[in-house]
Amino acid sequence: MKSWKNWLAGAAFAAALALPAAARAAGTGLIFVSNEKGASITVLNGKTYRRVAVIPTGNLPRGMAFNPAHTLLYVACGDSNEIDIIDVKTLKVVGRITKGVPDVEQVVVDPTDHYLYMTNENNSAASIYDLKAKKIIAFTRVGEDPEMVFLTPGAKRIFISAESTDMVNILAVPSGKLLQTILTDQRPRRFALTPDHRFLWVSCEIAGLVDVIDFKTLKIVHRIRFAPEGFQKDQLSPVGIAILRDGKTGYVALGHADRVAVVNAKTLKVEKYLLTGHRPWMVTLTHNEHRAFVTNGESDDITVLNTRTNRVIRSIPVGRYPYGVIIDD
Amino acid sequence: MTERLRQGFVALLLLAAALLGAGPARAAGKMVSVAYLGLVHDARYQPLLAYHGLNFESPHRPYLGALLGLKDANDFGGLLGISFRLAKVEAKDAAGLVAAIGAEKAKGTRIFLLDAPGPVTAAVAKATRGQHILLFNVAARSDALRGPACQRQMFDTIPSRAMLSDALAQYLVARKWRRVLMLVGPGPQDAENAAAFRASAHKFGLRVVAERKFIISEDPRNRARNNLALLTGGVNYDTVYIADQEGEYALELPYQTQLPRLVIGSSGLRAVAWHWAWQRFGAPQVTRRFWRLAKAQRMTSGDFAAWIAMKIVALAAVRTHSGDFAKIDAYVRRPSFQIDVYKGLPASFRPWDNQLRQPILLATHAWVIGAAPLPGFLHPVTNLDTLGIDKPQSTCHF
Repeated sequence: MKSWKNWLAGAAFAAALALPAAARAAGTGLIFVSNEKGASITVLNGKTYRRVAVIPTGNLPRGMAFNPAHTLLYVACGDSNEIDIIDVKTLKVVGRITKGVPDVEQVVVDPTDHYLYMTNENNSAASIYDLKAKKIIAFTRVGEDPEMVFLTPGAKRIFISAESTDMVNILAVPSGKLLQTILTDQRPRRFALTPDHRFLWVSCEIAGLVDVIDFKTLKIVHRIRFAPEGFQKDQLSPVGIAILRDGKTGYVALGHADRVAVVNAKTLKVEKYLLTGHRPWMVTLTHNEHRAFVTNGESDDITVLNTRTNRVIRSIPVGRYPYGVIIDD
Repeated sequence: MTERLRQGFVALLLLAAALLGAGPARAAGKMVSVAYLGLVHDARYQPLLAYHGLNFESPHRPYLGALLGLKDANDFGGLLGISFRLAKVEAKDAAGLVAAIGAEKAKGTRIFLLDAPGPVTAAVAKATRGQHILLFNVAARSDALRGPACQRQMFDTIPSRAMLSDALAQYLVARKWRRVLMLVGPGPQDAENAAAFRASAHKFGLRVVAERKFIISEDPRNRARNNLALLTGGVNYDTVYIADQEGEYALELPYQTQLPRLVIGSSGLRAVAWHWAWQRFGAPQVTRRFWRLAKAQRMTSGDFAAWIAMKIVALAAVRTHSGDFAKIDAYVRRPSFQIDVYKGLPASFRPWDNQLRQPILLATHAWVIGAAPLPGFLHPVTNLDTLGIDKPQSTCHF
């Protein structure tokens, strides 16, 4: 009963937060998985988890983002130097952005559907594509091997994690001007902001921990550490993270340790480790947050977690080297 | 790369650094100087004998790896107000290299990447004993440099022979291919490699069914030592290990063994610090950056060792917000020091011999089959220490 109430409260909060939701049709519930080496997107039914389609894409499909109306899905295809555009209804590639988008790893669409923010991995750059004018309007040098793009609430800045130079570069948008660079622990990968906007979690793969950064002062104020039984420190390589809207629980995929850590987001202590496939990588929550999907980079499957019970429900085979999951719900 | 190209490249870097430096995060300009030291005439970088007259890629100096490291270092430090410089110095012999170190020190350089064969590396390290410098051994794999010839100021980023042969031995154990025939060439490195492999076989419980010396010759009077059928006949084995520093005989061996068996060591499956075909942990991005910088040459283990040495220097300077040698030196010596080497597990220095402990790749000519430590090879501190000389066995005394 209590959790049901929590869920209602959470859903109301989310609805209030998610402005573009107004313009958005009811989701299809479809689950899209980018298969890094499969050059494809596996589409699963959101209820039965049955395979609905496999959409061929350019090479090295990784980051994905919906437009605010959830009618289009943008897929960053790094090795083909293009962004494929998939029609969410027909599940076909209906367009490609091919100009000025070299080795794009991650894409994010701003809530006004005007700009596409991306990282260009081999160019150590972050760039901004104007979806209306259909051209690149900013191309900014950042740290090496930039990976994740995190758009701040209010869509005023983007945070870029530069894996090889242990830094987060903060850029103004849409100007693309580099505002600030902060050092993190080794090999920063993914971001998650606490729902109260006070702390930004940054997973640091090689350091084997999650930096908790004060979102105002941008200083590291805490480090979440992991110690699953039977593993040495250097076998812990956190990448994907997600925090529930109630601000109580976070999930961190631990890479080599083949586990997802369930973290108490208040005490920042690990409560439980859940066994997944090999090298769990990204964590994506369903809109209602009842489920989390974890891509397992080295076992070609995804693991489904029940976030109420914090148990693993099942694993679903997908394509080669699944990178990320995005859900139309 | 020609000198002109190189200068152009450095100019480009400086330009990039200047542009980046314009960012708001810029602190007071700090500069860290590093010098690459190599021999003027170095037999290791002569084209492979077997390939004379053919247009195959020749071995190149790990200076290219250092250049990539310089670029990465400036990308790292550039956004934070620290820049890096790399000089290239060559000398005729060990004495010349020692003199070069002195000259560079007079100019303010305290960090060196040494690219020399084992004996020269040992001589340079011995002659600079006690000096306040950091000497990164980026080329010499000799176990003695991690043992009796170790020096406190020297850090080895290239894996030792013991680490490499341990990786091979782990693979054979994992596949249950326990019987090994050893073929050993006449060179001094062949003897060192064979000794390392024998020790690894003992450590992991492999059985060396026979050890045979070979020479490259067509002389029928020397059949017992030059005929592949004779060298690989008369005993049963699961694999043939070959130690061949020249490389030509090793190329001949696969498919010509008397029994249908696999070859490991100097051809077939080789243990390496780096391989261009390594696909995981961000490695393709590194290999691609190298390929571009080196004008379509492949990144070697030496390049890796020089590249990672530059990255170690950059990490220390950035993390200590300093170009000060004492701080950089202290940072590298911290027990908590570790660095990403794009091979999965982070690397760190073994305090007992200054060897960079790191995963070892097991590669064929065109693919990486595995990365050691292999699953199931466990160590109480870090599984990386199943490779190479562990603390209790170390004969290094700084």
